[in-house]
Amino acid sequence: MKLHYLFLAPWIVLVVPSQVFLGLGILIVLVVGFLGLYGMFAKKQAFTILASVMLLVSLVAGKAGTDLNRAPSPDTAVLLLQLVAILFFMEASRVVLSFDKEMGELAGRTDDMSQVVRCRLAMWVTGQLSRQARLMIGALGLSLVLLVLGGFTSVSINQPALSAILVLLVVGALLFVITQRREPETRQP
Amino acid sequence: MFTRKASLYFALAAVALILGLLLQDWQLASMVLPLASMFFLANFWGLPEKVELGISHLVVPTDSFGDEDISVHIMISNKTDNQLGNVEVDEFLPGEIKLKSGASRVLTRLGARENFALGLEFHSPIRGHYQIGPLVARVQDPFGFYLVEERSEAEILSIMPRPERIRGAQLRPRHLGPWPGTIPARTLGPGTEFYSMRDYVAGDDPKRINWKTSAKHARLIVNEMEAERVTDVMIVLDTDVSYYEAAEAELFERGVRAAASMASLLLRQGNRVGMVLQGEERGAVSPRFGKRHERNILFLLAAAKPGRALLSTSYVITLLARLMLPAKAQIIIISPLLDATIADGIRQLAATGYSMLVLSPLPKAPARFKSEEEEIAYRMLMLGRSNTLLALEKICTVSQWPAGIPLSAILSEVRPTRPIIRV
Repeated sequence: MKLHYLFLAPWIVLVVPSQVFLGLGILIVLVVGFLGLYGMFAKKQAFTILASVMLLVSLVAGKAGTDLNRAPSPDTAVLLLQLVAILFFMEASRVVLSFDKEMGELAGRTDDMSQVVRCRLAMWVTGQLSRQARLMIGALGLSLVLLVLGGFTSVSINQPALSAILVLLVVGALLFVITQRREPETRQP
Repeated sequence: MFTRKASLYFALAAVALILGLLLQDWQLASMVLPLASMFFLANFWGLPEKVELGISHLVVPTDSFGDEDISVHIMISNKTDNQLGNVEVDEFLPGEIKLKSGASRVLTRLGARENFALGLEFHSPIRGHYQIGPLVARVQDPFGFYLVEERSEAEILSIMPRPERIRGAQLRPRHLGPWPGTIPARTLGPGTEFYSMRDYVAGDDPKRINWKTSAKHARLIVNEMEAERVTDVMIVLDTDVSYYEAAEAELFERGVRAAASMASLLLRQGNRVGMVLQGEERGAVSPRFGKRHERNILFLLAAAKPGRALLSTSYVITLLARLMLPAKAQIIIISPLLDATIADGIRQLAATGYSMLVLSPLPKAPARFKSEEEEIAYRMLMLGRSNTLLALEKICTVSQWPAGIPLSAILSEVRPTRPIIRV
């Protein structure tokens, strides 16, 4: 889990045609890899988040750059898999780092209550990772199903009116799934 | 509720969608699908719609003299039939507190109707008030898009100064209450000290007959005792100890301990005791009786912090004495006497008939000075203090308390003096 940047960064960045990143693909891989690994091993969440955000930006910018350069596009399923992989590992690394941090706080304590907390923490981390994995696989599966269903409808994106309606529909659907049954977070001091 | 993180993911989805439409790229626009699916699944399967948590925490003990470990008992209960996979329990503790066992932050999952008891233990911190909590329990979906939060109020842990056991202090105020106590009342009544003699009358207790005198005068003579009553006392703790940085804390803590010990003793003797803190932070407790009142005074002293007084000590004590005490009652001032202006206030109060006792913790001389100027400054300060002491000795009882000597020993040597007041 801690080494995922080693394969994720080359997979995301190096599949993009090199002219999109002005030939700096390897440098980006090195920077992302270094930041991610440093964050994971030094237990600094900010660095792992930064590395993941850089990967997300690379993915979106790479795709946009590919379009602008009229280079051959990757398969849509691969693109979605890459996105889901970045998001999953970003979330999972957050869980792992929280686990490490809490375990670190308990280091050297042998009392009963600390043991109970350790057991609870171990249960929490396995539960969290498996639930995240399940939801991510579910999200990927659902996306692919929706993609296939969308393919059957054959809507042309070139028509501005249709595009506008589509945007409104998607934004509305997104807002619905975000806010359904929930209210905005109100921070308390 | 949905979190800021959910908003950021929404922004990412919006960016992908807009870019896709601008570049007329279905693939980019389709990136919205996994994000929307994540929201959908996290919302409907990640976190139950109804989350009901019972949370409570209990600090044991809430008041302490600092010689025992403090425990915090936390109880979290899931009151619904849904399992909660991502529960974060956070007990906010002040930075001074270092845990001995347990953890102040726990990440756990809670089964249906499960109760989770968590205990923390830490060594008692130094004197002061500490806010334990609030206890916060957050239930989130696996991605942290949605959040349900429960809070319980913070509790206050008071580490109070431990009063030193003092045998007694000789106080002779002119104002006395009607109840029996330990202060000689200069009148006849039940007491322990001899006052006068008179002829025996029928009904007198035979134990009181003074046989030697009776034999000398060839008639029965009985001893009469001096009544002992209670009084009203106000203790003023001067927290303005701005003196020599390294020694300030020790000097201040000695003052606090003395105030706690005096208050405890005087309340135990049945007197009404009040307390005034005078310094950067001020506080006052009106004179009252009893054990519960002792706790109020110690609670006030627990929060005492040293600092330069903004209002003149002289002004404050004269004002508060008149507001809080009956005329001619007892005032005890605990002050290192580093501010010479205090003498004016004491003079005014003594002139109006209050009985004054000044207990002055003697500042410890620094082991070495950093410079000659510092040494000269120290000597000047001590000279000023000596002058104040000389001035005060003429108008009230003054007792110096050097470091390392028990307060009890100092107070046993205190003898009330007859004040010479020139108004």
